[in-house]
Amino acid sequence: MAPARYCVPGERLCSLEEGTPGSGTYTHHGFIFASLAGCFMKKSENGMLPVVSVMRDVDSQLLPDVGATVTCKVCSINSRFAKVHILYVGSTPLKSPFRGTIRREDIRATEKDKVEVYKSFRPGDIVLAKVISLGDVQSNYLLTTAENELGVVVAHSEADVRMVPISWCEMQCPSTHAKELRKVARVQPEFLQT
Amino acid sequence: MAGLELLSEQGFRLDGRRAGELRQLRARMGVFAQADGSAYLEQGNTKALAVVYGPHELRGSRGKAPHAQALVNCQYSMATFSTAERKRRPHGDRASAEMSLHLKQTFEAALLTRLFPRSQIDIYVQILQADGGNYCAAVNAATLALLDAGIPMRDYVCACSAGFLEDTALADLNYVEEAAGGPQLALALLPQAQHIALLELNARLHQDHLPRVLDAATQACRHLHALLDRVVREHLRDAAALLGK
Amino acid sequence: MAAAGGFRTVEPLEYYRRFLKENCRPDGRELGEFRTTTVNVGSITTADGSALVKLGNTTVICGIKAEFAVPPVDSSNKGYIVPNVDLPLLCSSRFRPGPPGEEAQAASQFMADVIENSQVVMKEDLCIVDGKLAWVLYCDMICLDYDGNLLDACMCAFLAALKNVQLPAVSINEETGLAEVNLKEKTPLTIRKEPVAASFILFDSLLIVDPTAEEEDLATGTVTIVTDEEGKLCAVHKPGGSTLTGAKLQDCISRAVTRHKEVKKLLDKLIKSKKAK
Repeated sequence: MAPARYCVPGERLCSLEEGTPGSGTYTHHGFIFASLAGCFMKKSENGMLPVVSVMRDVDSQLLPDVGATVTCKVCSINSRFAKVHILYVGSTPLKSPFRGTIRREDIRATEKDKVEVYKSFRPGDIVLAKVISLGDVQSNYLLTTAENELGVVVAHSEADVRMVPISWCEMQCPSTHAKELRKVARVQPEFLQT
Repeated sequence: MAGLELLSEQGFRLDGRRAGELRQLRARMGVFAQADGSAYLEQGNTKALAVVYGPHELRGSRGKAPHAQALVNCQYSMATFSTAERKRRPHGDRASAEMSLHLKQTFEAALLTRLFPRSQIDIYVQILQADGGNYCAAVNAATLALLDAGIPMRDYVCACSAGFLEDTALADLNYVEEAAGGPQLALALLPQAQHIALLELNARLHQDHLPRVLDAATQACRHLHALLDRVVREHLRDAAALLGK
Repeated sequence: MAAAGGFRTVEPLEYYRRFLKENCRPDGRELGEFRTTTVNVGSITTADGSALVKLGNTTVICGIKAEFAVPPVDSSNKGYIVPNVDLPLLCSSRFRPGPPGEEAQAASQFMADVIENSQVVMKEDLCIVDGKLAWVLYCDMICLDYDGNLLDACMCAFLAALKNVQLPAVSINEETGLAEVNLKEKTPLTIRKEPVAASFILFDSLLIVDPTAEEEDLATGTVTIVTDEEGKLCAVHKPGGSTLTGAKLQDCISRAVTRHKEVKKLLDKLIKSKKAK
């Protein structure tokens, strides 16, 4: 393998005519400069200009972006919304959790007025959700579970045993056989782990 | 002035350096496990530690945060045993608050904060031993820590102090030279583009002498940039070797 | 690998229990094993004595500064030792800005109690002139990286820094009545006892030594034992938490005595190599 070329912030990589800026770079006065300390990468796409980027060995912190699917843990609920801690963005774990809110009207896509937060989430549940807004002065990240693939993935029953989903709105405890109401995510069969 | 001769006739300073010579620099990156980025830097006898956390969620009042940009939060503190006289308040006093604000303003110019809206980047600097050039050592250590954390920056930020004595411009003042009372200039520079991020001068200096002092400081910053660059590249090579590339 | 990381965040208790079943911990240590300890003395020249201790990732630096003070009225032949533990924002993202939190204050109080009870340094040794002048030793311990087991690291740093302290000779000028310090003549302190701390956590009725920050969060109780070089107990600190049988406490004490021997060997080697230079 060719020895990796390292670059540091402020180093001029190339001009805008020779490549398009990728991650870890910024443009200034018609030139592409590096903004991270790492390996210089040039990926050429067929036909288009090569993408110039700087890669680090360790992934730096990712921030939840609008439209990203996130995995979060419910910390508290009340009649209007559920407060969650965002743990993963896509499949990358976050070093420190971000706070988010799932409002009552964003839990389901249909029959929004008949939704009860207590029957959809409980504290401690792991939920798959999507970011709809970065929030403003008053609120945190706003999330939604109003899709079939979004909702509760892992939940523990009142007997503290992991429950099994039986329908889109119910989960059952394998030891007490009690059913509990949740807004369950439809997990694709190939991702099911037993 | 009788007493200590800060600059001898042959052009040597108290510690044997020449007028434009920097103190010995030693630096290490990635020294702490808990932080996202960390660095330890020694410039002569001044020892500074910088730790970076972030970007992470905004803490505290969300109203104060700039819209569409990351909030840069700096705290500068000196250990109680860092000075010859025991320092009673490590941080929270006015001098530390001023330093923290200077650090914040310096790094807001260099970091690409628009990439991280509604988040916070914390930069904490701890001075373990103070022997002059505290702000400059803090800035250099913070630059290395930010590089270690992988936060996108426009350029390095290199800082150095300079003074003027007996018609000669001195670079990188130590504590004795600072306490002598002559004019002192602190310069924080983005070396590649030659942009000045921060410039502070105290005590009176005739404006004819200013270009020479500024030049001495700029030369020193460029030299520092070369030294820091070497540290960063070595760290990258070692990190890659550890991962077995 | 991502799945393991995921399990760790989502179900930390279960993740930890799976390791304990195999009689080991996530970082590969056994239940009774301490992390690698490294000690470095004398790096801060502005302090009269300094030491840096790394216990795994937990890093504590201790700086001791000696100043003059008037001895207390009720015991005019004693000096002072003032410990202080600082947990600044940089050591971990769990600490909030503001005045010292309860963890820092509790640690400072623990150090003060151990110093008082174990008589590490006789306060009478710190007196220069009865009733007029005495030394006050300000011992500031700053945690630079917090990964659990703060008390052990602080104790070790404090002891190493004390051994590194060199106090200058002081004479009272008869004419002016002021103290004159002779910086050329320095003597080390007489250390009477050498306390070493060993901390344990209680989890699921198991005793686990030297917890990391993650393990401390999962623990249901903690115990810290401080012993001196004769195998005697200086302090036993069990601040509430889940219960412990007498037999288990005895186990802790014997493990603490073994730990003392390990740390003493490390410190003696360090002092000897420093003297040889």
